[in-house]
Amino acid sequence: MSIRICGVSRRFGAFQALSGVDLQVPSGSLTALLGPSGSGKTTLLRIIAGLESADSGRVLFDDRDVTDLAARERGVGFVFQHYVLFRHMTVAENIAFGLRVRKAPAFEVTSRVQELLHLVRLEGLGQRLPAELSGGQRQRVALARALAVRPQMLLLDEPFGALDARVRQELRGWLRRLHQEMHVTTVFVTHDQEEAFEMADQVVVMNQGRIEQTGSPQEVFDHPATSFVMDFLGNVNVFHGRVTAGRLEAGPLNMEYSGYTRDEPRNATAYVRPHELELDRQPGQGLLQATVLQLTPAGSLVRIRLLAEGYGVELNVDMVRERAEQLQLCCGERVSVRPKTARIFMPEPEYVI
Amino acid sequence: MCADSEFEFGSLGGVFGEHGVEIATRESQECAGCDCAYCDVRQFVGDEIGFTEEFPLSEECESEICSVNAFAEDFDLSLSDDEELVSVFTFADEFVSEGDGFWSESVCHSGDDGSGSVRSVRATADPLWVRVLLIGSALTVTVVLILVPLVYVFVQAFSAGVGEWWSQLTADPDTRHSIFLTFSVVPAAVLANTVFGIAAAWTLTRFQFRGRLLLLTLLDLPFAVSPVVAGLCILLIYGAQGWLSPLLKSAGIQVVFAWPGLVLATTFVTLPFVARELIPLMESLGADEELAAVSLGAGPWQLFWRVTLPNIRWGLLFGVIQCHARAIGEFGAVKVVSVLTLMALATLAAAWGLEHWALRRVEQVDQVEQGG
Repeated sequence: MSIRICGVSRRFGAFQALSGVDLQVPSGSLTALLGPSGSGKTTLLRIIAGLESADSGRVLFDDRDVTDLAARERGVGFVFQHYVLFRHMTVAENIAFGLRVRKAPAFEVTSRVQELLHLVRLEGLGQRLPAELSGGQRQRVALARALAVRPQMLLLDEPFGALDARVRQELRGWLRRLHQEMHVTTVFVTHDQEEAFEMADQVVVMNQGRIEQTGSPQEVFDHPATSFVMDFLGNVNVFHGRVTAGRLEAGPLNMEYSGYTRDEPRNATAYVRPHELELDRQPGQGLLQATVLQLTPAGSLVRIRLLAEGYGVELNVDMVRERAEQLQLCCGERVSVRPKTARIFMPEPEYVI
Repeated sequence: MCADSEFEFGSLGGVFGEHGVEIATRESQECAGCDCAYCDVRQFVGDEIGFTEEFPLSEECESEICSVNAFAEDFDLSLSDDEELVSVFTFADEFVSEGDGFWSESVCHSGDDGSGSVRSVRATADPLWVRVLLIGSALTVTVVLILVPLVYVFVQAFSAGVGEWWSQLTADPDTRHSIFLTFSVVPAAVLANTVFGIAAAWTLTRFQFRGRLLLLTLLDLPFAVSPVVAGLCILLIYGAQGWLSPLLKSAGIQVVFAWPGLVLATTFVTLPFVARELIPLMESLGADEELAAVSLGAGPWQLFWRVTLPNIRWGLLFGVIQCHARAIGEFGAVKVVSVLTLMALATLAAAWGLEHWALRRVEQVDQVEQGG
């Protein structure tokens, strides 16, 4: 079932949680709503589920307008960040809840519960109470409970946020496989870009109640639409400066920029990812000179912190191990830095009337 | 080693709740495995009781020395320079009751000689006079204010024998009527307040609306208002000259001086109990489980019976018990709306008497006139 959001806004007192959000989630996709806290991603998810109402705008499931439909009639499975299992019910009763309130026959309930316990690999734990389970197990029960009623879509609010790193990693892979088997349209909220990129087919980056960019993980990472997306997705070196007649001058960074050819200068910010900076020992024409401050081996990469003395700017560079061994850098050495590429964003000029 | 220095070891012990500590003076540190008193204690602890596991106190590090140091800090064991905390251990269950005895015995054993630097450490003990004063005053108040009057009630009730008590209880129509009223008014009031309390707690914790705080405050009003005043208000509103009397009269309902009035008064006085018990509970539970139930397709009633009620059941039970106790004990408000019945009867009787007397006077006058 596909989801369409048209111009949804929501305000909590003085706080504008969502302002005019439009979004299309294709049927059967796995979509991540990614953004910092307060960006409105959870509010949007709850509006889709019907647990929160929108001030304006429409929500459509497969062209059917469900804006005014109560949550319990939307047929949506919702998984909360902190599991929210019914604490007085056993695991099996929790999973059976959705079926029982729909007055499903007892034999069907029993077989479906067994099926789901098997699916979430919790066979034999059906008679436990939620308090007797670990965090990862509870989250799997919450998932089984949401799936029991065969929802047409699954919404997950920071599903792995409260779990430790290893369990989170494991559950991500598991959920991804589960999605491939079942093809239920799934939307999940996360503030962890790694999680979003690892799991989702479609990433929706949100900020301050607006959608900054929608696209595949590759697209969003390689072609960030706005400076926020660039900044939010991973480490980046930021250079503030200006562009004039096809050239960018931003502190230590000085390069051609064909995107702006007019003569009057305009403020611009250049973003260069750490792996997009190349180091060399030979000083070259127009290259930036910097001193190595710190070398940190991190797996297959070496993270290097540099100081461009002339500008008092610190730079982060990621380099593959082989290259670092080849260069044999050490702290305090002077190197020249060459950006392979840079992404330049110009804020809208502020017109004074 | 220490074979000839049996009493030179400072073996100190203490009991902290379920934990025991072992403190040794520094020179005894090298002693291990000989048969001196200090080693005996260790041996006994290890072999006989079998609770040598260290109590993990420090979260950062679980090594023995960290947990021992953290313990010393937590319990503010002030150790002198030549003393060292050797270990901390948790007592096995069967040992806790005897813990004090064991330790004082071992401490005394090495302390008898006077040569060992023996010290008994108890972190939880207040001075004796504080304990005596606090426990004594609590007991005094309980006995004087509660126990003595309670016992006296029973003594008086049975002073003329159980048979007399029973016949008073069953034969006297007034007593029978009072008991009947208690057993009919109280359940009605408690039921009304249970329903109201759940509804109020739900409203106040699940919805945000204008006047929410005002409602929350008004809920406590029955605690502040004197029951007699409450009764009077009911009298003034529902009584013969009250605001609602024309309406009630036309409907043929009597409120004041009747069963409905008693229920009203009792309900008013016991109003806050259930709601006050449930509001903090429901606030701490939050609405998440209810939202989860809604997203799974539960209707309002299913939501209440299957999710909310099981979660609040103990709080609700406690509120109902409190409400019940207060309802049975309530007298002030009930007195105003019921005991006045007697006064009203007296007034009626007086009026009837006067009329009768006046009538007879008129007849007498007539007779005199006829006779004259």
